Amino acid sequence: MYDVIALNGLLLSCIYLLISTGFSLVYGVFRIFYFGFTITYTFVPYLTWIFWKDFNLALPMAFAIMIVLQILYSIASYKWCIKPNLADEGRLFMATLLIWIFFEELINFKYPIVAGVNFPAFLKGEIRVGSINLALQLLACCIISIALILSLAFFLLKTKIGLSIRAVSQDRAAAELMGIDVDRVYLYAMIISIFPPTICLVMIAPFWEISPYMGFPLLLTALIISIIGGLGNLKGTIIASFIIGFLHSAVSFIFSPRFTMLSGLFCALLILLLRPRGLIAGERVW
Amino acid sequence: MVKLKKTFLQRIKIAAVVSVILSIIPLILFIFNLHRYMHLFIIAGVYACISTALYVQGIGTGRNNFGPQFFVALGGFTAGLSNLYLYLSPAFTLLTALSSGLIFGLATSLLTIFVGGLYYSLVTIIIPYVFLQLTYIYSGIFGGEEGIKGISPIVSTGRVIIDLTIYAYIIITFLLVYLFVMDRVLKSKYGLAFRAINENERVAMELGVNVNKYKVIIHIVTSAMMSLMGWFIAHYYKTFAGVEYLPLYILLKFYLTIALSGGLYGIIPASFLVIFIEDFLRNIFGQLNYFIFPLVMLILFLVLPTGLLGIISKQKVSEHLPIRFRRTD
Repeated sequence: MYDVIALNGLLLSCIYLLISTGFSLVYGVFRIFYFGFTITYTFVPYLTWIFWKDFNLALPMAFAIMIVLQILYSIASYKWCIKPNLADEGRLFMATLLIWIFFEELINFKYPIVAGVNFPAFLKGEIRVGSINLALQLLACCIISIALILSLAFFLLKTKIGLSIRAVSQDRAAAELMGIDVDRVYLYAMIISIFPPTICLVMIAPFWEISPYMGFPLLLTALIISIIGGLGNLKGTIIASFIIGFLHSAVSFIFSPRFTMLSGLFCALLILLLRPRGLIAGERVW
Repeated sequence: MVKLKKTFLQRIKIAAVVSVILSIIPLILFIFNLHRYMHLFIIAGVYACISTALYVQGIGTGRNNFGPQFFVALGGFTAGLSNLYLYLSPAFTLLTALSSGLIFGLATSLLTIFVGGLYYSLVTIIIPYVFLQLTYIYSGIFGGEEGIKGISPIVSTGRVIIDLTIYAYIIITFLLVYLFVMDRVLKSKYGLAFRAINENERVAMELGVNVNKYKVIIHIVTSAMMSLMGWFIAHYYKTFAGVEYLPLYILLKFYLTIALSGGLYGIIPASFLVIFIEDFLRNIFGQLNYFIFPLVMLILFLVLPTGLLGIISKQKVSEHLPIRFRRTD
């Protein structure tokens, strides 16, 4: 049983890492709670489905259009929703919550759960790991997850844009005084943040339950991970993803899958009591 | 002194006007036998009560609670379960619901001390969701998706319109008590301390305000106020389901009410506006209402940045509108 828990934990950790990285990046740069991020999770399967099935485009083309639309959504969200309300967190929360519910209900109206939205696996076949048969696509998801996070770390640490993002995340006013175009950095952060969850959902869509309301549970997982790791800190997010991934796996197999969210919350509360600002309390992205 | 007296008289006048208006509406609805509008009036009253508690909690703790529905559900389930299994009458279930609100309010008030700012908001989003999961896991107790049924009503005269009228006056009583007590509290020296905490906790502490004590007290009291609304809902509908009151959608209405209110007394018209608009859209658009309602609310939210009281306090509506909607001449 322990090998199953370990492998499942590793898989979940990699998935959670991708799901929470974007949310963490947005928080790290903006220092705001952006509820509109939730719809990103729902847009991935449903926008792809629209272009694939309703417009009869090839699946890769549908993915490409979905990514373009996600980028446009991020830009529009920033320009018309985040930027005007940046100083008022309450208003921003309300506005993004309304936008999220609007899109979610619109999707549910057009494609309710009975519409049976599903996707084929890109990589067919399975690989045997110990006593477990693991789908190749899920293994690829793990590898891509780690590669993507390493690339993101490299991007943040070694590139000029990454340096600007880190500077804004540390001190916006100082960054502005140093000549950094904060508006542009915010936009970069918004756009970059959609890639990890998009790639994750494309990879796991054939194995995950697709529903118009799938966004909120995923956001909650991202929230718990961000709280444990330290809001907006990617290093903390990586550590917390593995903690929660293995915790969920252990609880699912030892007790019941129904207790996974509960265990995550207790873990978050425990860590908040011991370290009120999360595991890595740096007020910066990296 | 004269100015103070004048302000006090003005406040009494506002209180009297609000009380009279609220008391007349159910009477008119009763005379014309308008069941549906009476029901909407009651629901709007419930939302106004919860929003009042949430509004004051936000000021007193300096934090945004994104999980008030947890306390509503807690009160509802406590009242329902104690009515069904302990055979307690609504008068006694009120006490059990109140107690549960006070106990869990005390337990969660620790979060207002140890968990700061956004962390608090994020944790409070998760708590109702976990409670919702528990209602599914222990569906034998909480009734799962269907909820608990057969809760006894507060009144049962045999005539629906009379029952509804009594419920309307009960909720008006709650609403007026909530509003006037909270108004007095906010305008007292305690209210000053709450506002100081809301502005800057550290400065408030340095000024000698016992920040932790005030935060714990206001959190417990407002949580209990929300639980009482759970009690009312459970006995009004005679059923209570977690799936109805724990999801985030209901939070949206509470915060919309606060956002559109523009102040404590603005909560009443704002809650009526939100509930009546939702009902109006549901009647016109049916299923489409689920996504049209948030869209309409988003527009209202953008057009009324200072809420409904903001319109009243300005001489012209155009002055209140955001710059992009104003005429440039």
